[in-house]
Amino acid sequence: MRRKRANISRGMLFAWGMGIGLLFLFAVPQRTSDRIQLTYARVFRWPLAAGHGLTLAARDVALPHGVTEEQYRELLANHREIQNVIANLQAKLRETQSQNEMLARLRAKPGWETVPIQLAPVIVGVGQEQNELIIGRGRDHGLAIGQFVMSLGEQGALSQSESVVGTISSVDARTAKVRLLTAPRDPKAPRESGVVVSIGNLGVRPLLEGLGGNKARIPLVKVEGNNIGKGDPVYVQKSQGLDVPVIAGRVAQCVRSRDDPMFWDITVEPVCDVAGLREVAVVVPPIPAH
Amino acid sequence: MRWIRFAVLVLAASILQASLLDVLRVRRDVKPDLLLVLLVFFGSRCSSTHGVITSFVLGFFADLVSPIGGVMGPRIISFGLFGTLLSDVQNVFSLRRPLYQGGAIFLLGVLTAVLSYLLASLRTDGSQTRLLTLFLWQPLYSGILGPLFTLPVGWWMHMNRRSRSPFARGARVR
Repeated sequence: MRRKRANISRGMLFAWGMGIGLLFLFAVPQRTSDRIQLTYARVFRWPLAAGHGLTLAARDVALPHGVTEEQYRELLANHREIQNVIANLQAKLRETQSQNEMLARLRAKPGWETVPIQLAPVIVGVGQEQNELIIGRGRDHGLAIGQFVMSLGEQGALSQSESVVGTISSVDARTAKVRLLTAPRDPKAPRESGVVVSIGNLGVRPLLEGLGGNKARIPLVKVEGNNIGKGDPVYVQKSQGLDVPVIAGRVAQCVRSRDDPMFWDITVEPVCDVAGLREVAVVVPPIPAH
Repeated sequence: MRWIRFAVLVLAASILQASLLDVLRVRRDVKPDLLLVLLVFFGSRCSSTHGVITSFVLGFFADLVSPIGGVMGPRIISFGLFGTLLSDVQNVFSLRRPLYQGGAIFLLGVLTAVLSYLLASLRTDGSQTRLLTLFLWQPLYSGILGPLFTLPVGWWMHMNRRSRSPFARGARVR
């Protein structure tokens, strides 16, 4: 009988213990748990502090001959500071190595050997429809309004092709804003503000205008006699330091213009997934020497 | 069971665990878990009822001084559960020999760490926890150093008597 009662009591104790544990885990707010831990630390602060002091004393190394404790602490502080500087430099070195590798891969491609390029990290995409990017290079790095910005191949797990994604629209000392090719055209801006492109065997060099919604269009093109179909590449022409035509997008649709049925409107979709960009290349043409 | 001595011992152990035991720290974050050593000590020497009480109390203090993921509760539950199980099997296995004690400390260390981590990850993101340290190095280090603590603890608790296990070597069978 006694044995049975002891068993029940033990079971109850176990249940109570588990209940308290579960209560602490799920019902007691983190703030209360923190307060209990802080109360324990406050009540036993003397023995805890003494133990901590003893630990530090036990860990102290014997001072070298002729060095005072104050000098030793100063040296230790200097040492820590140098370690931090080294760590920062190592991080910078790693970043530079990765950029060099990226540039070397780009330069190895035919036509890209002499294109003057400045790599720039993408800081953030801006705008409701992400029509602009802010990049981490600016005037100090040779960037200027109107320069072409390209996506790079092999960015981490994402494989992007080299393509023009936009142009620099405003520039600061260390940052710049990139207006994507798909950003809607400012109605007040002149039509010539578009980017000159080429498609297939078209004799004229039409202008590419952004439509928003990750689309652009080439308005009022005379396509008779030229075979333009869905999927045809659209190239940005040689200009602003670009030595080779670079793809910007592909033809998504080719329909007769509502303004003038003699002409056609071509809708273009970019080949690059801008949302996945971590780094871009800005084509920085060299300043002509006077 | 001398409860006042037990209370003093647990308080002293928790204070030591939080402060002075840093002297024995290896690498950056591996130090013996004194409360785990006490869990195995009381789990293997107390009556089963007392084993349950001591396990939960030790778990509470373990959550106070070294909570996993900063939350309280996981170690109360894991210490309570595995301490109770240990006190259940103490009549079958004798943990008098230092080698067995070390093995039991290591095993219980791994089990309580895994359960505590799993429970803590229900409330917090456990990605910051060093799993190898928690699951392997700390229990191993505790298992190696743990048997050294059992003699003074047994002396303090007046529990350095012979085993009650009928299967233990040298146990008196009536």
